[in-house]
Amino acid sequence: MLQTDRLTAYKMLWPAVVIEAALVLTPLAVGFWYSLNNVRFFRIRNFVGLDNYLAVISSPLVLNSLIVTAVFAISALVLTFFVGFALALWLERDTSTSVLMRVVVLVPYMISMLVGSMMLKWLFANESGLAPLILAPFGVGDISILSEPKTAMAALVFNAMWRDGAFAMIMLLAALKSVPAQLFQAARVDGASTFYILRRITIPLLRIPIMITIVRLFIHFVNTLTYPLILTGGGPADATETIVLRMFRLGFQDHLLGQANALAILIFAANVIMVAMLLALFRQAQRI
Amino acid sequence: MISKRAILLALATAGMLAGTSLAFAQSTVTMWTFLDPAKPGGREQALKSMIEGFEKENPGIKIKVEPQVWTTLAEKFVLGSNAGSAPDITWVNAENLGLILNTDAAADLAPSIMNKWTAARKSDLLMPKSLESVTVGGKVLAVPLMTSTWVMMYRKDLFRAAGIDVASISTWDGVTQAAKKLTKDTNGDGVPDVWGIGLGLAQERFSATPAVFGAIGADGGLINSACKPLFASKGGERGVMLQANWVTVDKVAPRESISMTSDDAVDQFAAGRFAMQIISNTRFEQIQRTASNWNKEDLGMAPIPAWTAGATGPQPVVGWYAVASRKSPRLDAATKFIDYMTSTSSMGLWTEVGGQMPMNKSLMSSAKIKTPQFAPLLQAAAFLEKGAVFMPGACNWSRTFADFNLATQQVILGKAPVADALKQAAKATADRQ
Repeated sequence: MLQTDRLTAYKMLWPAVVIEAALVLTPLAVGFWYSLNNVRFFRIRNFVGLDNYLAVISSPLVLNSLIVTAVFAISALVLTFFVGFALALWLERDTSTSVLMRVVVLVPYMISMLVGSMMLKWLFANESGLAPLILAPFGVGDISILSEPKTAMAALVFNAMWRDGAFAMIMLLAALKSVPAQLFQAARVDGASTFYILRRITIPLLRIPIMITIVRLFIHFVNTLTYPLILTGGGPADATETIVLRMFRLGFQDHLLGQANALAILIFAANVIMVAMLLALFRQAQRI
Repeated sequence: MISKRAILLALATAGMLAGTSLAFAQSTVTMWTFLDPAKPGGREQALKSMIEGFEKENPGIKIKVEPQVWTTLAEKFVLGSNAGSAPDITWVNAENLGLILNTDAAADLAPSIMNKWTAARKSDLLMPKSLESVTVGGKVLAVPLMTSTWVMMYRKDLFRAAGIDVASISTWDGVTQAAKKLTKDTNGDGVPDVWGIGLGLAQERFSATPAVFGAIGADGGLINSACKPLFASKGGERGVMLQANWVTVDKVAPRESISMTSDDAVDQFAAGRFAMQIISNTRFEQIQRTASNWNKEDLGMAPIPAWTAGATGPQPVVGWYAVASRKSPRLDAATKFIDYMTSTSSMGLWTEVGGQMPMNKSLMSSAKIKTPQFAPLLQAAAFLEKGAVFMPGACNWSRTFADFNLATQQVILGKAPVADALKQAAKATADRQ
């Protein structure tokens, strides 16, 4: 690249860098500074060093929320991925039925997360929702789904799968479309079964897009606030309080901004690692 | 000889200068509130009338209302004060006074308002102690605008059908006994269709529950003046176990109460699913309006129960307060309007037009409000007169009710013994001070 070309490139880049610095790096730096201080009622009172980090790491509530996040993220990931993959395989062909079903599947994804979670909350309500009517023939109509820890977690995972299954479907459908159709035709001509094609052709060729989808979904489920805040409120008894909801409560409800920022920095560090994995996968995909 | 052009130019300049000086002479006081005077509604129209009346009496002052989401008022005011962009006046609810009183955002209103009150006005206050709770270091940092409390709302028709006298629910034991009689499975499917008592135990969109009142009744308060929680005690345990047992032992409240917000519970009460519930008195008209399959005239109010017969249950005083920004360049005008909003005539507007509880003794005895329309307000005011409990304004108790709800959830689900659950709740409240 000529020197003048390089200078031109920098000149075109600097506005974006300035915006990024202002909107991302500055709040990050301020948040980090807050995490090193005792902040009460929105005022920095005194410097405490790493005390906020220690308080957060040793907090039983944070430990609980880490476990809850792991259970939720992994369960939702497995379910969402398999549902999305199944939908992508089922709706791959461009028939009118497939096109219609893709639209139907996409509807939950189009609805705002908050509205979708509120709708499901009403659906699951035992006193006034549809769930008791649907479950009554199975003899479990009087279970209060959102009032029991296990069923509340199941409801949360269902919320994630219901909405983000469409996202997984889109990602994997796009990847499926990139696989040459001749490969499948040749395999069928050679007598390969559907399961054999899936196991020996589809999955190996979709390895990178599958990894990208999985990492992307995992990042989303670890960082999502809307589902636990709206659907379950983190309850019952903190059974669905994820790490991000804990951070939200520390900062915006308890106003313990020092600890909230410390937790936010730790979550940020975890996200950086996950995004680095995602970028590595993208680079690998480009080489193929 | 002066040309026509020069004369016209001079006249134009004089006109511009006059306009500019008029603009400088008029100041605009910005007020944040959850009310929008441009919208219909009793409180909105009351506020609109006050603004019009004030501006008429003070032609140099304009009041500009910027409606805000009520849950964010206190935080935004403090953040605005830190950034130098706070409004001149803001409204704060009692639960969030701690945030205001623990920062230097609010102005001392005593020199410009309270110190100028006549003796007659001071003695006319229904609850003069309400000013003590907002006084820090001799400075009065807020003025009450609207007052409310919690009451036991009940269905008179269901009480009649079950042969229950409302006097029997003056104690918590009486409430439990009545709730047992009122819980009914009307269609024989084994699941109650009407529950004796409604509870909203979620940690979001919460309100005060019987456990809170039980704890206050037993311990004399929720938090002391040093902002130390009092409820990790036998009194607190008694309160939490009372409502936990309603769900698990007495089965007079649904298990779903664990996940219900207070709004959900109020909706269920209006829908006829609960026979009794502790609700803010401000919701009386709303419940009557949304009553489904029952006559709105059958909505009754009783005071908060006590632990022993003959005792008065606690009636925590909450509501909305007006606060002026300490950094406001229009502090004189702002405090003048706050004084106007809390004057005897304005208090009349808040009650007669706005449907708010009277806060002046003269208003309580006024013939205008001794009508059936205002009976619920007078009733709630009478409860307050007997059992008013003031929370220490400088303490942050904004989420203490949520802490109680979490403790109750833990006990109902067997996650923690009641003593441990309350210790956790008390620690959470203490950490926020």
